[in-house]
Amino acid sequence: MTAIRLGVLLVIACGFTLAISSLPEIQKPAFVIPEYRTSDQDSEPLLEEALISGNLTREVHSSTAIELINGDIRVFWYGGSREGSKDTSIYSRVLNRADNSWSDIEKVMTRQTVARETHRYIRKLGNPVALVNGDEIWLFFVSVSVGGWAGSAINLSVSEDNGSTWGPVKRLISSPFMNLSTLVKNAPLLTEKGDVILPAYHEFLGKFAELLQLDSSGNITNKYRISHGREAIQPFLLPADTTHAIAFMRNSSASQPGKLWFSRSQDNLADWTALEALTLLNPDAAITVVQLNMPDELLLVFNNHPTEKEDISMAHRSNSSAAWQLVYRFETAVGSENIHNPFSYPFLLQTHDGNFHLFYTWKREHIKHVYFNRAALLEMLATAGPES
Amino acid sequence: MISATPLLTGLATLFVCIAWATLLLPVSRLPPAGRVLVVVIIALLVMLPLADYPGWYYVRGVFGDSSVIALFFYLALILQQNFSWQLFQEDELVLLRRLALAAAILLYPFALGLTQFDSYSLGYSNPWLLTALCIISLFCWLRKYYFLAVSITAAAIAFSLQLLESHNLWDYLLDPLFIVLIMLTWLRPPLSRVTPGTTAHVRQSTDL
Repeated sequence: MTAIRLGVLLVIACGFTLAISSLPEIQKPAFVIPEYRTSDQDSEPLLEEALISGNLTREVHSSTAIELINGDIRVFWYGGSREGSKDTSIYSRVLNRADNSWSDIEKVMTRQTVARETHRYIRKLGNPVALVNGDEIWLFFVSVSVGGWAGSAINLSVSEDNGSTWGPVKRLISSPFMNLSTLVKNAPLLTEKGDVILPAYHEFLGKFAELLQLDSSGNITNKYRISHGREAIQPFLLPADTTHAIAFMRNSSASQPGKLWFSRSQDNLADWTALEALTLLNPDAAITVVQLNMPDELLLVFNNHPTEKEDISMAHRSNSSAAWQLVYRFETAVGSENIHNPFSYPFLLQTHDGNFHLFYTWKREHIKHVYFNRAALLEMLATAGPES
Repeated sequence: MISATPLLTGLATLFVCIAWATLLLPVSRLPPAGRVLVVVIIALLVMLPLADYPGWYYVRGVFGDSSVIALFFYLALILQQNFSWQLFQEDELVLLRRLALAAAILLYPFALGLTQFDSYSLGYSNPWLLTALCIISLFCWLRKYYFLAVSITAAAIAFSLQLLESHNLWDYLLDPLFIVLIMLTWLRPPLSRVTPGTTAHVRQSTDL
Protein backbone atom coordinates (compact mmCIF):
# COMPACT_ATOMS: atom_id res chain seq x y z
CA MET A 1 0.00 0.00 0.00
CA THR A 2 1.54 3.28 -1.04
CA ALA A 3 1.94 6.17 1.33
CA ILE A 4 -0.59 8.23 -0.63
CA ARG A 5 -3.17 5.45 -0.49
CA LEU A 6 -2.67 5.01 3.22
CA GLY A 7 -2.74 8.75 3.80
CA VAL A 8 -6.02 9.20 1.95
CA LEU A 9 -7.60 6.36 3.92
CA LEU A 10 -6.43 8.00 7.13
CA VAL A 11 -7.91 11.33 6.05
CA ILE A 12 -11.25 9.67 5.30
CA ALA A 13 -11.31 7.81 8.61
CA CYS A 14 -10.37 10.83 10.71
CA GLY A 15 -12.52 13.25 8.74
CA PHE A 16 -15.75 11.31 8.99
CA THR A 17 -15.13 10.35 12.60
CA LEU A 18 -14.82 14.05 13.38
CA ALA A 19 -17.84 14.97 11.28
CA ILE A 20 -20.18 12.31 12.68
CA SER A 21 -19.06 12.81 16.28
CA SER A 22 -19.64 16.57 16.05
CA LEU A 23 -23.17 16.34 14.68
CA PRO A 24 -25.46 18.40 16.91
CA GLU A 25 -28.08 16.52 18.85
CA ILE A 26 -31.47 17.79 17.75
CA GLN A 27 -34.23 17.64 20.30
CA LYS A 28 -37.89 17.86 19.51
CA PRO A 29 -38.99 21.34 20.50
CA ALA A 30 -41.18 21.83 23.55
CA PHE A 31 -42.78 25.25 23.56
CA VAL A 32 -42.80 27.79 26.33
CA ILE A 33 -46.46 28.61 26.89
CA PRO A 34 -46.90 32.31 27.70
CA GLU A 35 -49.35 33.29 30.40
CA TYR A 36 -51.67 36.27 30.20
CA ARG A 37 -53.97 37.83 32.74
CA THR A 38 -57.47 37.07 31.58
CA SER A 39 -59.61 39.13 33.92
CA ASP A 40 -59.74 42.89 34.13
CA GLN A 41 -63.13 43.58 35.58
CA ASP A 42 -62.27 46.92 37.15
CA SER A 43 -61.45 48.83 33.99
CA GLU A 44 -63.77 50.55 31.59
CA PRO A 45 -63.72 49.53 27.92
CA LEU A 46 -60.99 51.50 26.21
CA LEU A 47 -60.02 51.68 22.55
CA GLU A 48 -57.46 54.24 21.37
CA GLU A 49 -55.84 54.66 17.99
CA ALA A 50 -52.99 56.72 16.57
CA LEU A 51 -50.66 56.94 13.58
CA ILE A 52 -47.24 56.29 15.02
CA SER A 53 -44.69 56.06 12.22
CA GLY A 54 -44.16 59.80 11.74
CA ASN A 55 -43.19 61.31 8.42
CA LEU A 56 -39.59 60.21 8.06
CA THR A 57 -40.37 58.14 4.98
CA ARG A 58 -42.97 58.36 2.25
CA GLU A 59 -44.07 54.74 2.59
CA VAL A 60 -44.03 52.33 5.52
CA HIS A 61 -45.00 48.69 5.81
CA SER A 62 -44.89 45.45 7.77
CA SER A 63 -44.99 46.43 11.43
CA THR A 64 -44.30 44.06 14.29
CA ALA A 65 -44.12 44.56 18.04
CA ILE A 66 -42.85 43.03 21.25
CA GLU A 67 -43.55 43.59 24.92
CA LEU A 68 -40.30 44.44 26.67
CA ILE A 69 -39.47 43.05 30.09
CA ASN A 70 -40.53 46.31 31.77
CA GLY A 71 -43.90 46.19 30.01
CA ASP A 72 -43.14 48.84 27.39
CA ILE A 73 -43.98 48.09 23.77
CA ARG A 74 -41.29 48.27 21.07
CA VAL A 75 -42.61 48.37 17.53
CA PHE A 76 -40.60 47.87 14.33
CA TRP A 77 -41.45 48.55 10.71
CA TYR A 78 -39.64 49.27 7.49
CA GLY A 79 -39.94 52.40 5.42
CA GLY A 80 -38.52 54.18 2.41
CA SER A 81 -39.52 56.32 -0.54
CA ARG A 82 -41.52 53.27 -1.68
CA GLU A 83 -41.84 49.64 -0.66
CA GLY A 84 -39.01 48.22 -2.75
CA SER A 85 -36.76 51.25 -2.98
CA LYS A 86 -33.07 51.29 -2.16
CA ASP A 87 -33.56 53.64 0.76
CA THR A 88 -35.64 51.24 2.86
CA SER A 89 -34.50 50.89 6.46
CA ILE A 90 -35.87 49.29 9.61
CA TYR A 91 -37.35 51.79 12.06
CA SER A 92 -38.44 51.42 15.65
CA ARG A 93 -39.91 53.31 18.57
CA VAL A 94 -41.05 52.47 22.08
CA LEU A 95 -44.38 53.06 23.79
CA ASN A 96 -43.73 53.92 27.43
CA ARG A 97 -46.59 52.26 29.26
CA ALA A 98 -46.12 54.32 32.40
CA ASP A 99 -47.05 57.63 30.78
CA ASN A 100 -48.42 56.32 27.46
CA SER A 101 -45.85 58.32 25.48
CA TRP A 102 -43.90 57.33 22.38
CA SER A 103 -40.12 57.66 22.12
CA ASP A 104 -38.44 59.25 19.13
CA ILE A 105 -38.28 57.12 15.99
CA GLU A 106 -34.94 55.34 15.59
CA LYS A 107 -33.46 53.96 12.41
CA VAL A 108 -32.20 50.61 13.73
CA MET A 109 -30.97 48.96 10.53
CA THR A 110 -29.92 50.25 7.12
CA ARG A 111 -28.92 48.36 4.01
CA GLN A 112 -25.42 49.82 4.31
CA THR A 113 -25.06 48.34 7.79
CA VAL A 114 -26.29 44.96 6.63
CA ALA A 115 -23.99 45.01 3.56
CA ARG A 116 -20.98 45.92 5.68
CA GLU A 117 -21.64 43.21 8.26
CA THR A 118 -22.69 40.39 5.95
CA HIS A 119 -20.12 41.25 3.27
CA ARG A 120 -22.67 41.35 0.50
CA TYR A 121 -24.30 43.97 -1.67
CA ILE A 122 -27.75 44.65 -0.22
CA ARG A 123 -30.42 46.39 -2.28
CA LYS A 124 -33.29 46.68 0.20
CA LEU A 125 -34.57 45.60 3.60
CA GLY A 126 -38.00 44.48 4.74
CA ASN A 127 -40.30 42.51 7.06
CA PRO A 128 -38.87 42.90 10.56
CA VAL A 129 -39.84 40.25 13.12
CA ALA A 130 -38.81 40.53 16.76
CA LEU A 131 -38.57 38.26 19.77
CA VAL A 132 -37.81 38.84 23.43
CA ASN A 133 -35.37 36.05 24.26
CA GLY A 134 -34.35 36.32 27.90
CA ASP A 135 -32.51 39.60 28.32
CA GLU A 136 -32.05 39.99 24.58
CA ILE A 137 -34.15 41.19 21.68
CA TRP A 138 -33.69 39.17 18.51
CA LEU A 139 -34.54 41.09 15.37
CA PHE A 140 -35.04 39.08 12.20
CA PHE A 141 -35.56 40.86 8.89
CA VAL A 142 -35.21 40.09 5.21
CA SER A 143 -32.77 41.63 2.77
CA VAL A 144 -32.59 41.46 -1.00
CA SER A 145 -29.44 41.66 -3.09
CA VAL A 146 -30.97 41.20 -6.51
CA GLY A 147 -34.53 41.08 -7.88
CA GLY A 148 -37.76 41.39 -5.93
CA TRP A 149 -38.89 40.09 -2.58
CA ALA A 150 -38.70 36.51 -3.87
CA GLY A 151 -34.92 36.95 -3.72
CA SER A 152 -34.96 37.62 0.02
CA ALA A 153 -32.76 36.07 2.66
CA ILE A 154 -33.16 36.26 6.43
CA ASN A 155 -30.83 38.20 8.73
CA LEU A 156 -30.58 38.29 12.50
CA SER A 157 -29.28 40.95 14.83
CA VAL A 158 -29.41 40.83 18.62
CA SER A 159 -29.73 43.68 21.08
CA GLU A 160 -28.69 43.29 24.70
CA ASP A 161 -29.96 46.68 25.82
CA ASN A 162 -33.67 46.59 24.93
CA GLY A 163 -33.03 47.78 21.39
CA SER A 164 -30.86 50.84 22.03
CA THR A 165 -27.94 49.26 20.15
CA TRP A 166 -27.69 46.23 17.91
CA GLY A 167 -25.06 43.55 17.52
CA PRO A 168 -23.51 42.23 14.31
CA VAL A 169 -25.88 41.17 11.56
CA LYS A 170 -25.83 37.44 10.92
CA ARG A 171 -26.99 35.96 7.64
CA LEU A 172 -29.14 32.82 7.98
CA ILE A 173 -28.58 30.26 5.22
CA SER A 174 -31.88 28.49 4.76
CA SER A 175 -32.01 27.45 1.11
CA PRO A 176 -29.49 25.58 -1.06
CA PHE A 177 -30.35 27.56 -4.18
CA MET A 178 -28.05 30.58 -3.67
CA ASN A 179 -29.94 31.08 -0.40
CA LEU A 180 -32.72 32.68 -2.43
CA SER A 181 -36.19 33.32 -1.18
CA THR A 182 -36.69 32.66 2.48
CA LEU A 183 -38.77 35.35 4.14
CA VAL A 184 -40.19 36.05 7.57
CA LYS A 185 -43.34 37.88 8.57
CA ASN A 186 -44.69 36.49 11.83
CA ALA A 187 -43.41 36.12 15.36
CA PRO A 188 -41.25 33.18 16.50
CA LEU A 189 -41.89 30.92 19.48
CA LEU A 190 -39.43 29.96 22.20
CA THR A 191 -38.79 26.42 23.36
CA GLU A 192 -38.01 25.27 26.88
CA LYS A 193 -34.41 24.51 25.83
CA GLY A 194 -33.92 28.06 24.58
CA ASP A 195 -34.30 27.29 20.89
CA VAL A 196 -36.28 29.60 18.64
CA ILE A 197 -38.90 28.33 16.19
CA LEU A 198 -39.08 30.91 13.43
CA PRO A 199 -41.98 30.80 10.95
CA ALA A 200 -40.68 31.39 7.44
CA TYR A 201 -41.79 30.96 3.85
CA HIS A 202 -40.49 30.64 0.31
CA GLU A 203 -41.63 32.50 -2.77
CA PHE A 204 -39.21 31.36 -5.49
CA LEU A 205 -40.78 28.68 -7.71
CA GLY A 206 -42.52 27.01 -4.77
CA LYS A 207 -44.63 29.09 -2.40
CA PHE A 208 -44.74 27.26 0.87
CA ALA A 209 -44.54 27.63 4.63
CA GLU A 210 -41.92 26.19 6.93
CA LEU A 211 -40.36 26.57 10.36
CA LEU A 212 -36.69 27.15 11.12
CA GLN A 213 -35.31 25.88 14.41
CA LEU A 214 -32.45 28.01 15.74
CA ASP A 215 -30.22 27.28 18.71
CA SER A 216 -29.39 29.84 21.37
CA SER A 217 -26.56 31.16 19.17
CA GLY A 218 -28.91 31.86 16.30
CA ASN A 219 -27.70 28.98 14.13
CA ILE A 220 -30.25 27.01 12.16
CA THR A 221 -30.28 23.44 13.44
CA ASN A 222 -33.36 22.05 11.71
CA LYS A 223 -36.31 22.97 9.58
CA TYR A 224 -39.85 21.67 9.27
CA ARG A 225 -42.07 21.98 6.24
CA ILE A 226 -45.70 22.91 6.88
CA SER A 227 -46.93 23.03 3.28
CA HIS A 228 -45.56 22.54 -0.21
CA GLY A 229 -46.41 23.53 -3.76
CA ARG A 230 -47.66 27.06 -4.29
CA GLU A 231 -50.59 27.42 -1.91
CA ALA A 232 -49.66 28.98 1.42
CA ILE A 233 -47.13 31.47 2.81
CA GLN A 234 -46.54 33.56 5.92
CA PRO A 235 -47.34 30.96 8.56
CA PHE A 236 -48.57 32.28 11.89
CA LEU A 237 -47.53 29.76 14.53
CA LEU A 238 -49.23 29.16 17.88
CA PRO A 239 -48.62 26.41 20.42
CA ALA A 240 -51.44 23.86 20.69
CA ASP A 241 -49.70 22.31 23.68
CA THR A 242 -46.06 22.06 24.69
CA THR A 243 -45.14 19.76 21.80
CA HIS A 244 -47.66 20.54 19.07
CA ALA A 245 -48.59 23.67 17.16
CA ILE A 246 -51.21 25.14 14.90
CA ALA A 247 -50.48 27.40 11.94
CA PHE A 248 -52.60 29.87 10.02
CA MET A 249 -51.35 30.80 6.59
CA ARG A 250 -51.89 33.43 3.95
CA ASN A 251 -53.22 32.10 0.68
CA SER A 252 -50.89 32.27 -2.30
CA SER A 253 -52.81 30.03 -4.67
CA ALA A 254 -54.04 31.80 -7.79
CA SER A 255 -56.46 28.96 -8.47
CA GLN A 256 -58.15 29.17 -5.06
CA PRO A 257 -58.62 32.87 -4.32
CA GLY A 258 -60.17 34.07 -1.10
CA LYS A 259 -58.88 31.26 1.12
CA LEU A 260 -57.24 31.42 4.51
CA TRP A 261 -55.34 28.25 5.39
CA PHE A 262 -54.95 26.28 8.58
CA SER A 263 -52.85 23.26 9.55
CA ARG A 264 -52.08 21.37 12.77
CA SER A 265 -48.83 19.57 13.60
CA GLN A 266 -49.08 15.88 14.34
CA ASP A 267 -45.63 14.46 15.13
CA ASN A 268 -44.21 17.30 17.15
CA LEU A 269 -43.40 19.69 14.27
CA ALA A 270 -42.26 17.08 11.78
CA ASP A 271 -45.64 16.26 10.28
CA TRP A 272 -48.53 18.60 9.47
CA THR A 273 -52.10 17.99 8.43
CA ALA A 274 -53.12 18.88 4.89
CA LEU A 275 -54.12 22.50 4.45
CA GLU A 276 -57.75 23.21 5.23
CA ALA A 277 -59.54 26.44 4.46
CA LEU A 278 -61.19 28.45 7.22
CA THR A 279 -64.69 29.76 6.72
CA LEU A 280 -63.24 33.27 6.75
CA LEU A 281 -62.37 35.08 3.53
CA ASN A 282 -58.98 36.53 2.79
CA PRO A 283 -57.52 38.28 -0.28
CA ASP A 284 -54.00 36.74 -0.32
CA ALA A 285 -53.11 39.01 2.59
CA ALA A 286 -51.17 38.85 5.83
CA ILE A 287 -53.04 37.85 9.00
CA THR A 288 -52.30 37.91 12.72
CA VAL A 289 -53.61 35.70 15.52
CA VAL A 290 -53.46 35.63 19.31
CA GLN A 291 -54.49 32.90 21.71
CA LEU A 292 -56.97 33.96 24.38
CA ASN A 293 -57.18 30.51 25.91
CA MET A 294 -55.25 27.37 25.04
CA PRO A 295 -55.51 25.86 22.59
CA ASP A 296 -58.22 27.15 20.32
CA GLU A 297 -59.84 30.32 21.66
CA LEU A 298 -58.37 32.74 19.20
CA LEU A 299 -58.56 36.29 17.92
CA LEU A 300 -57.67 36.68 14.26
CA VAL A 301 -57.19 40.04 12.55
CA PHE A 302 -57.40 40.02 8.77
CA ASN A 303 -58.76 41.63 5.61
CA ASN A 304 -62.30 40.31 5.45
CA HIS A 305 -62.76 40.23 1.70
CA PRO A 306 -61.92 37.64 -0.99
CA THR A 307 -59.98 40.02 -3.23
CA GLU A 308 -59.44 43.48 -1.68
CA LYS A 309 -57.60 44.82 1.35
CA GLU A 310 -60.14 47.51 2.13
CA ASP A 311 -60.87 46.70 5.73
CA ILE A 312 -59.20 45.46 8.88
CA SER A 313 -61.49 43.11 10.79
CA MET A 314 -61.22 40.90 13.83
CA ALA A 315 -62.79 37.45 14.26
CA HIS A 316 -63.09 35.30 17.38
CA ARG A 317 -63.25 31.55 17.79
CA SER A 318 -64.04 29.88 21.09
CA ASN A 319 -62.59 26.65 22.38
CA SER A 320 -65.97 24.95 22.06
CA SER A 321 -66.69 25.85 18.46
CA ALA A 322 -64.90 25.63 15.13
CA ALA A 323 -66.93 28.56 13.83
CA TRP A 324 -65.65 32.12 13.67
CA GLN A 325 -67.53 35.19 14.82
CA LEU A 326 -66.74 38.63 13.41
CA VAL A 327 -66.35 40.85 16.45
CA TYR A 328 -65.01 44.17 15.23
CA ARG A 329 -64.06 46.16 12.16
CA PHE A 330 -61.17 48.58 12.69
CA GLU A 331 -61.12 50.04 9.18
CA THR A 332 -63.40 50.39 6.22
CA ALA A 333 -62.18 52.09 3.06
CA VAL A 334 -63.81 55.37 2.17
CA GLY A 335 -65.01 55.05 -1.38
CA SER A 336 -63.85 58.47 -2.52
CA GLU A 337 -60.23 57.77 -1.67
CA ASN A 338 -58.49 56.23 -4.60
CA ILE A 339 -55.98 54.09 -2.73
CA HIS A 340 -55.70 50.48 -3.76
CA ASN A 341 -55.51 48.04 -0.84
CA PRO A 342 -55.19 50.74 1.82
CA PHE A 343 -55.00 48.48 4.91
CA SER A 344 -52.70 45.50 5.28
CA TYR A 345 -50.18 43.55 7.32
CA PRO A 346 -51.87 43.56 10.74
CA PHE A 347 -49.88 42.51 13.79
CA LEU A 348 -51.75 41.89 17.04
CA LEU A 349 -49.80 41.78 20.31
CA GLN A 350 -51.37 40.49 23.52
CA THR A 351 -49.50 41.91 26.50
CA HIS A 352 -49.11 40.07 29.77
CA ASP A 353 -51.66 42.32 31.46
CA GLY A 354 -54.25 40.83 29.12
CA ASN A 355 -54.67 43.86 26.84
CA PHE A 356 -54.04 44.25 23.12
CA HIS A 357 -51.99 46.37 20.73
CA LEU A 358 -52.81 46.14 17.04
CA PHE A 359 -50.48 47.58 14.40
CA TYR A 360 -51.10 47.67 10.65
CA THR A 361 -50.13 49.48 7.48
CA TRP A 362 -52.47 52.43 6.96
CA LYS A 363 -52.71 53.62 3.36
CA ARG A 364 -49.06 52.73 2.92
CA GLU A 365 -48.14 56.05 4.51
CA HIS A 366 -48.37 55.23 8.20
CA ILE A 367 -48.32 52.49 10.77
CA LYS A 368 -51.50 52.68 12.78
CA HIS A 369 -51.60 51.62 16.40
CA VAL A 370 -54.87 50.56 18.00
CA TYR A 371 -54.92 49.81 21.70
CA PHE A 372 -57.89 48.04 23.23
CA ASN A 373 -58.18 46.58 26.67
CA ARG A 374 -59.79 43.34 27.75
CA ALA A 375 -62.95 45.13 28.81
CA ALA A 376 -63.26 46.51 25.28
CA LEU A 377 -62.77 43.03 23.87
CA LEU A 378 -65.46 41.62 26.12
CA GLU A 379 -67.80 44.37 24.93
CA MET A 380 -66.96 43.55 21.29
CA LEU A 381 -67.67 39.87 21.93
CA ALA A 382 -70.97 40.67 23.62
CA THR A 383 -72.20 42.77 20.72
CA ALA A 384 -70.75 40.65 17.89
CA GLY A 385 -72.71 39.17 15.03
CA PRO A 386 -73.56 35.52 14.47
CA GLU A 387 -70.93 32.82 13.99
CA SER A 388 -70.00 31.82 10.48
CA MET B 1 -13.89 30.93 10.08
CA ILE B 2 -14.49 32.14 6.56
CA SER B 3 -17.82 33.66 7.48
CA ALA B 4 -16.24 35.75 10.21
CA THR B 5 -13.19 36.83 8.30
CA PRO B 6 -13.80 39.30 5.50
CA LEU B 7 -10.34 38.83 4.01
CA LEU B 8 -10.71 35.07 3.67
CA THR B 9 -14.26 35.42 2.40
CA GLY B 10 -13.10 37.91 -0.18
CA LEU B 11 -10.21 35.71 -1.23
CA ALA B 12 -12.49 32.69 -1.58
CA THR B 13 -14.83 34.72 -3.80
CA LEU B 14 -11.83 35.98 -5.78
CA PHE B 15 -10.69 32.40 -6.30
CA VAL B 16 -14.12 31.44 -7.67
CA CYS B 17 -14.07 34.44 -10.03
CA ILE B 18 -10.58 33.56 -11.27
CA ALA B 19 -11.64 29.95 -11.76
CA TRP B 20 -14.68 30.86 -13.83
CA ALA B 21 -12.77 33.45 -15.85
CA THR B 22 -9.89 31.16 -16.65
CA LEU B 23 -12.28 28.37 -17.56
CA LEU B 24 -14.57 30.45 -19.76
CA LEU B 25 -11.92 32.63 -21.37
CA PRO B 26 -9.08 31.21 -23.48
CA VAL B 27 -6.59 32.04 -20.75
CA SER B 28 -4.62 28.82 -21.23
CA ARG B 29 -3.62 30.01 -24.69
CA LEU B 30 -1.87 33.05 -23.25
CA PRO B 31 1.79 33.10 -22.31
CA PRO B 32 2.54 33.02 -18.57
CA ALA B 33 2.79 36.82 -18.38
CA GLY B 34 -0.61 37.16 -20.04
CA ARG B 35 -2.16 34.76 -17.57
CA VAL B 36 -0.74 36.70 -14.66
CA LEU B 37 -2.13 39.90 -16.16
CA VAL B 38 -5.60 38.34 -16.43
CA VAL B 39 -5.46 37.25 -12.81
CA VAL B 40 -4.34 40.73 -11.71
CA ILE B 41 -7.17 42.38 -13.65
CA ILE B 42 -9.73 40.03 -12.14
CA ALA B 43 -8.27 40.57 -8.68
CA LEU B 44 -8.54 44.33 -9.08
CA LEU B 45 -12.14 44.07 -10.30
CA VAL B 46 -13.11 41.75 -7.47
CA MET B 47 -11.22 43.29 -4.55
CA LEU B 48 -11.35 47.03 -5.25
CA PRO B 49 -14.47 49.07 -4.46
CA LEU B 50 -17.02 49.35 -7.26
CA ALA B 51 -19.50 52.08 -6.36
CA ASP B 52 -19.96 51.58 -2.61
CA TYR B 53 -18.54 48.10 -2.03
CA PRO B 54 -15.73 45.79 -3.17
CA GLY B 55 -16.60 43.80 -6.27
CA TRP B 56 -16.80 40.54 -4.38
CA TYR B 57 -19.69 41.91 -2.30
CA TYR B 58 -21.78 41.96 -5.50
CA VAL B 59 -20.69 38.47 -6.55
CA ARG B 60 -21.41 37.10 -3.10
CA GLY B 61 -24.70 38.98 -2.86
CA VAL B 62 -25.97 37.25 -5.97
CA PHE B 63 -24.40 33.80 -5.80
CA GLY B 64 -23.58 33.28 -2.14
CA ASP B 65 -20.65 31.12 -1.06
CA SER B 66 -19.13 28.34 -3.09
CA SER B 67 -19.27 24.79 -1.76
CA VAL B 68 -16.09 23.12 -0.57
CA ILE B 69 -16.16 20.46 -3.28
CA ALA B 70 -16.60 23.19 -5.89
CA LEU B 71 -13.52 24.99 -4.57
CA PHE B 72 -11.49 21.77 -4.87
CA PHE B 73 -12.82 21.22 -8.38
CA TYR B 74 -12.03 24.78 -9.47
CA LEU B 75 -8.51 24.42 -8.09
CA ALA B 76 -8.00 21.16 -9.96
CA LEU B 77 -9.28 22.58 -13.23
CA ILE B 78 -7.15 25.70 -12.98
CA LEU B 79 -4.05 23.66 -12.24
CA GLN B 80 -4.84 21.27 -15.06
CA GLN B 81 -5.57 23.93 -17.65
CA ASN B 82 -2.77 26.31 -16.80
CA PHE B 83 -0.03 24.20 -15.27
CA SER B 84 -0.78 20.72 -16.66
CA TRP B 85 -1.11 19.34 -13.15
CA GLN B 86 -3.60 16.51 -13.32
CA LEU B 87 -5.29 16.03 -9.97
CA PHE B 88 -8.09 13.74 -11.14
CA GLN B 89 -8.58 11.02 -13.68
CA GLU B 90 -11.09 11.03 -16.53
CA ASP B 91 -13.13 8.25 -14.88
CA GLU B 92 -13.09 10.25 -11.67
CA LEU B 93 -14.57 13.25 -13.45
CA VAL B 94 -17.30 11.05 -14.89
CA LEU B 95 -18.15 9.79 -11.41
CA LEU B 96 -18.09 13.34 -10.03
CA ARG B 97 -20.54 14.46 -12.73
CA ARG B 98 -22.89 11.59 -11.97
CA LEU B 99 -22.75 12.16 -8.23
CA ALA B 100 -23.28 15.91 -8.64
CA LEU B 101 -26.21 15.39 -10.98
CA ALA B 102 -27.79 12.84 -8.64
CA ALA B 103 -27.30 15.14 -5.65
CA ALA B 104 -28.77 18.10 -7.55
CA ILE B 105 -31.82 16.08 -8.56
CA LEU B 106 -32.30 14.89 -4.98
CA LEU B 107 -31.75 18.33 -3.51
CA TYR B 108 -33.10 21.22 -5.55
CA PRO B 109 -36.63 20.20 -6.62
CA PHE B 110 -37.52 19.03 -3.13
CA ALA B 111 -35.85 21.98 -1.41
CA LEU B 112 -37.85 24.33 -3.64
CA GLY B 113 -41.17 22.89 -2.53
CA LEU B 114 -42.04 20.11 -4.97
CA THR B 115 -43.36 17.83 -2.22
CA GLN B 116 -43.79 17.78 1.55
CA PHE B 117 -40.40 16.04 1.77
CA ASP B 118 -37.58 18.54 2.22
CA SER B 119 -34.26 16.98 1.28
CA TYR B 120 -32.36 20.09 2.43
CA SER B 121 -33.41 19.45 6.03
CA LEU B 122 -31.37 16.21 5.93
CA GLY B 123 -28.25 18.33 5.89
CA TYR B 124 -28.56 19.75 9.40
CA SER B 125 -27.92 16.83 11.69
CA ASN B 126 -28.79 13.65 9.86
CA PRO B 127 -26.08 11.00 10.40
CA TRP B 128 -27.26 9.00 7.38
CA LEU B 129 -26.19 11.67 4.91
CA LEU B 130 -22.71 11.72 6.42
CA THR B 131 -22.65 7.91 6.44
CA ALA B 132 -23.55 7.85 2.75
CA LEU B 133 -20.76 10.31 2.03
CA CYS B 134 -18.31 8.17 4.01
CA ILE B 135 -19.27 5.12 1.94
CA ILE B 136 -18.86 7.09 -1.30
CA SER B 137 -15.46 8.31 -0.15
CA LEU B 138 -14.35 4.76 0.66
CA PHE B 139 -15.60 3.61 -2.72
CA CYS B 140 -13.55 6.37 -4.36
CA TRP B 141 -10.55 5.31 -2.30
CA LEU B 142 -10.94 1.69 -3.43
CA ARG B 143 -11.06 2.89 -7.05
CA LYS B 144 -8.03 5.12 -6.41
CA TYR B 145 -10.09 8.28 -7.04
CA TYR B 146 -8.12 10.16 -4.42
CA PHE B 147 -9.10 13.66 -5.50
CA LEU B 148 -12.78 12.88 -5.14
CA ALA B 149 -12.30 11.03 -1.86
CA VAL B 150 -10.33 13.89 -0.35
CA SER B 151 -12.77 16.54 -1.69
CA ILE B 152 -15.79 14.83 -0.15
CA THR B 153 -13.96 14.26 3.13
CA ALA B 154 -12.81 17.89 3.18
CA ALA B 155 -16.43 18.98 2.77
CA ALA B 156 -17.44 16.82 5.74
CA ILE B 157 -14.60 18.22 7.85
CA ALA B 158 -15.43 21.80 6.86
CA PHE B 159 -19.06 21.14 7.82
CA SER B 160 -18.07 19.80 11.23
CA LEU B 161 -15.89 22.89 11.78
CA GLN B 162 -18.66 25.18 10.42
CA LEU B 163 -16.22 26.96 8.10
CA LEU B 164 -18.98 28.43 5.92
CA GLU B 165 -21.91 30.59 7.05
CA SER B 166 -24.23 27.68 6.45
CA HIS B 167 -24.84 25.01 9.06
CA ASN B 168 -26.22 22.63 6.47
CA LEU B 169 -24.03 19.88 5.02
CA TRP B 170 -25.55 20.23 1.55
CA ASP B 171 -24.04 23.71 1.22
CA TYR B 172 -20.58 22.22 1.69
CA LEU B 173 -21.18 19.60 -1.00
CA LEU B 174 -22.63 21.49 -3.93
CA ASP B 175 -23.93 24.83 -5.12
CA PRO B 176 -25.83 25.85 -8.25
CA LEU B 177 -22.80 27.40 -9.99
CA PHE B 178 -20.83 24.20 -9.47
CA ILE B 179 -23.67 22.15 -10.93
CA VAL B 180 -23.78 24.44 -13.96
CA LEU B 181 -20.04 24.11 -14.47
CA ILE B 182 -19.95 20.36 -14.03
CA MET B 183 -22.83 19.98 -16.47
CA LEU B 184 -21.03 22.24 -18.94
CA THR B 185 -18.04 19.92 -18.88
CA TRP B 186 -20.44 17.14 -19.81
CA LEU B 187 -22.71 18.79 -22.33
CA ARG B 188 -20.60 21.34 -24.12
CA PRO B 189 -18.41 20.03 -26.93
CA PRO B 190 -14.73 20.46 -26.28
CA LEU B 191 -12.93 23.44 -27.78
CA SER B 192 -9.70 23.12 -29.61
CA ARG B 193 -7.59 24.78 -26.97
CA VAL B 194 -4.32 23.02 -26.41
CA THR B 195 -2.55 23.10 -23.11
CA PRO B 196 1.04 21.96 -23.39
CA GLY B 197 1.60 18.77 -21.49
CA THR B 198 -2.10 17.98 -21.07
CA THR B 199 -3.20 14.71 -22.61
CA ALA B 200 -5.89 14.92 -25.28
CA HIS B 201 -8.05 12.53 -23.29
CA VAL B 202 -8.25 14.78 -20.26
CA ARG B 203 -8.47 18.00 -22.27
CA GLN B 204 -11.54 16.77 -24.10
CA SER B 205 -13.50 16.46 -20.92
CA THR B 206 -12.44 19.60 -19.08
CA ASP B 207 -11.94 22.38 -21.61
CA LEU B 208 -14.91 24.63 -21.95
